Order: sequence, then structure tokens, then C-alpha cells
Amino acid sequence: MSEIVVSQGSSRRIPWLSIGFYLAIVALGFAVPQTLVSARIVHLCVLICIYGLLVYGLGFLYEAAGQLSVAHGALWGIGAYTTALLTLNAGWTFWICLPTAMVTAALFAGLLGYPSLRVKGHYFLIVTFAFAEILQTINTNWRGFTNGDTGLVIAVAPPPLGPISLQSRADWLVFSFALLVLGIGVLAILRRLPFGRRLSAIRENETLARAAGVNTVRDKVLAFMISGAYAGAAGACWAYYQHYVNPHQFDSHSGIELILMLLIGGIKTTLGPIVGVIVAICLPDLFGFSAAQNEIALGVAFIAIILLMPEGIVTFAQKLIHRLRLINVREL
Amino acid sequence: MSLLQLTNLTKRFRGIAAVDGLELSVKENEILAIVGPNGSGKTTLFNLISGFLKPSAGEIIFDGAQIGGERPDRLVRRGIARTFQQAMSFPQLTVYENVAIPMYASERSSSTDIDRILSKCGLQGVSRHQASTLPYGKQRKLGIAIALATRPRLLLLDEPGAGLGDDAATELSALIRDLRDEGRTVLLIDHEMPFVLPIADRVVVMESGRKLFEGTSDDLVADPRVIEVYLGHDFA
Repeated sequence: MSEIVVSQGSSRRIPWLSIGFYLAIVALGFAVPQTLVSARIVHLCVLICIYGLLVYGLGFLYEAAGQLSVAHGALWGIGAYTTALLTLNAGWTFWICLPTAMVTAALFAGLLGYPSLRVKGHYFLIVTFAFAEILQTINTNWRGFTNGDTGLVIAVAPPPLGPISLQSRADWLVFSFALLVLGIGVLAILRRLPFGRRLSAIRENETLARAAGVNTVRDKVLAFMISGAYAGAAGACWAYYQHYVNPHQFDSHSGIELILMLLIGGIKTTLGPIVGVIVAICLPDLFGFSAAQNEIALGVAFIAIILLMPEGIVTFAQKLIHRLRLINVREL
Repeated sequence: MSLLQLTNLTKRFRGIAAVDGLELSVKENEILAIVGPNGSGKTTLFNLISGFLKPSAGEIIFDGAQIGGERPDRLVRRGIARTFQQAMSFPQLTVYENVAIPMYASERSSSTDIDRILSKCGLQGVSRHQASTLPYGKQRKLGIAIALATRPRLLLLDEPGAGLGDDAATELSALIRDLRDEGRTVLLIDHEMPFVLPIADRVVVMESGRKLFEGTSDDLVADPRVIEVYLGHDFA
């Protein structure tokens, strides 16, 4: 029934540009580990995939609630700490920690979202900022549990799961890339389900959505939980890939960085998040920036993009292509 | 038989009563118009019945159940739908997708109704258009179409005729009568007396949150209190 509605009501064209981009990325993602590229490039690609999961999750929350959350860095930390603590204290393997981290981060997102999604705009941003700060304070000061500033070291690699082995960086790239593709695919499916349609209604006009029978609080909290699960998955991968977690990796500052990545790429497009992540991860490496220089560069890039292309790089590129096409048509 | 019964319904904002001890009974399958000057509490009354506001006191009984303070989405499932004073839509979605939203929200609705609703509201020719591109009159009809897609028993129309030209207002009057003839109950607010009086089975006049008058259109235009407070002597 739903499919009939979509096909009759939609006037969207097939997004060939996006499809082509994704196919190229998929081909590249699986090809890179097989080639003789440097370990540094493989490492950057793994980081792009992990951050990609985070930023796509964050973008999904924006789609649902029209809200940006600073707490996403903290939810990422919940996934990472859940994984580290369960591995070190209970001897759980990565394969059990991964879904557990997703569920834990989703539950925290639900607990945060239920009261906070009732407020909007700056208020929501402040609530999520406070959540991130509280969590960092707990992680820093509850030394008996989290080891405080020293952090936790995971010295083991995940055991093989059937044909999946995560012993090398190249293995991690294939796995994290597959996880990112799966994550993007799941979000694409969710958007086409009744739940996704309701979210689009909430984003467009929440008052009317309520009058049309949409339980807006439930759907927004559910979207926040899904977004949190993505952060949890990224956290689990981070903990095992980096072998180390500490509170400062997941503070409110990291949450703001994720927002910047989303805004730089473009908040309204499917390609935007990954483009934002690639810019934020690769450019500093390309120029050999230190951590402090990196922060400055990200800030400068953000200001430049807000001034020159306020809807992000991808929307700017789409408009540019559209304009060039119009010029070509006129010349013909 | 009474579908909606309001008993001593009161809504106060910081001590000021926007709706003040209102008693009202809406019969099944009738068009009841609520008129009154600005600030008389009409839209607050709609917000109370549709769950967008919680009553300070009193009861709202719908189909035998007390519904005061229930959430809007629950009231939609009970069969109460509303439109808004401003023409509202989901602007970036197509007209078809707009009308489909209640279907995604509630098991009460089905996709088979959508074409029929679009046709009834005169929107079938623009079903693939983005809602924000519609002219004003069609945007108002789209609001009604979205409400109808929830399959309501009680339809609350907030100033449906506002800003419409003569032809569009005539079409809208015919549509509201059709809805009543289909068995729906319509509660409508409007300032345009030439629009309201011919279609309303009964009219209630509100003033300062209270009921000033209740009766037929013919009785209304002859009532000296209504003429004094609302219509003015020129109207009579």
C-alpha cells in the first residue's frame, strides 16, 4: 500500500549523481585495501568510515527533529566505554560488545531525548551540551570505573567471526566501510517506511503533523535512539581500532566537531555527511596540521563555508552543476 | 444524539479566562458554526477540543468518553480532526504525500481513500505538485484534505473561508455540506457571515470566552444582543 502512495505522489527524479558517487565510493572502499596504498591512507579511510557512521546518525536526527545535538560525541563515548569496560572487566568479545554498545548508546539517547526533544533550537543544543559535559565529568572523575584521565587500553584484537577477521588496518577498512554502507542503506530504507514519512512530516511542520495523528514525541525519541545506535557502533569500532579510550576524545568539543562536519558537507543532502567527514579528516592530514592547527583549520573552513556556501559543499556543487547545465542549454 | 458535549469548559492563561465555563452540545451529523469577535475564545476552544491545550476546568465528552487533556494524535484516533487558521501544509512534500501522512500515522486510514479525498477537494489535478507552490485557495483545501485523510467523525474547521474569493468560497461551502451529508459532524469557526449563515445548521456566538447566543441562522440575525455585540446595526 505504501509503495503505491510513494510512486503516485513522488515527483522526484532518479538521483544519478548520487548513485554514481556511491558506486564509485563502494568500488574504491573495497579496492583500497587490495592495493599498495600507504598504511596512513588506509588509516584515514578507516577514520572516515567511523566518523561517517557518526555524522550520518547525527544527520538522521536533524532530519527527524530538525535539531542538532552536541551530545552525539558523548553517545559515541558511551559506545566506546561500554565496549572497553565489557572487554576488560567481563571478557566479552568485540562481536558481542558491538551490538551491546549500540543498544546502550540508543538507551542513553532515549533517556536524554524524551525530556529534551520537547524543547527546541538553542535550548535543545544547551541540554545536549550539558549532557556531554556531565558525561565527560563522570568519565574523568569516576576513576575506579573508567580509570579517569588515564583512560582504558584494549590490547586485544577481535577474534575472527567466520570469514571476518580484523587483524590488520586493511581488514578494519573493509569492515568499517561495509558497516558504513550498511548504515547508509538502513537509513535510506527507514526514510521510505511509514516511520520515515512521519519524520519528514515532523520536520516540515510539527504542529500539522500532530494534527494529522503523528505521535511526534515518540517518533523523535525513536529517531534519536537510532541516531544513538549509530554513535554506539562507531564507539565500539573506535575502541577496538584505536585500542584506547579516554574521556577527552568524547567531550562536547567532539560533538561540535561532528556538527561542523555535517554542516560543511551539507545538511540537506545524502552525500553531504560523507563529504563533510572527508574534508574534516583529510584536509588537515594533507597539510600536515597539528591537533591545535587542525581545530583552527576546521573553524576557518566552517566560517568560509558558511559565508560562501551556507548550504554546504554538496548543495553548492549541485547548484553549480545546475547553473552550468542551464548555460549550456542557452548556448545550444 | 450528542457527539460532543462541553461542560463548564474553562481555559485560563495566567488568570485570564479565554474560555469561561462554556456549555455546548454538538449533535451528530450537523454543521455548527462558532462566530464571535476577535479574542472571544473560538480558536482556544478548538485547541482544547483537539488536544493542543489542556482545560483548566470542565469536561470534554466525545462519543461518551471524557477526552479533555488527551494528546492530539490520540484524539485523531478517536475521530477528531482539525484545520488551522493559517493555511498549513507540509510545504516540501507533494500534495499526494501531504494527504498520505495521516495514513502513515494511523491504522485508521488507508491509501485507497487518498484519490477520493483529492478528488472531493478538487486537488486531483495538482496531486504531484509541491504543496508550497499551490495558490492560497488550494492550500486551504489541502488543509481540509489532510484532516479528511484521518477519517474523522468530528471535523473542526478554523476559518476555512478566510481570504477566499467568491467562487472558491462557494466551492468550499458545497464541500462542507457534502461532508455533513456523508455523515460527518462539522464544527467551524469563521468571521464571514455570508459564508457561515447559509451552511450552518446552528450557530453559536461567543463573547469573552462565554456563549452569548445559540440558535439557527435566522434567529441569530434577529437577536438584539448579537447585533449589539457582534453584528452591528448595519448588518441587521
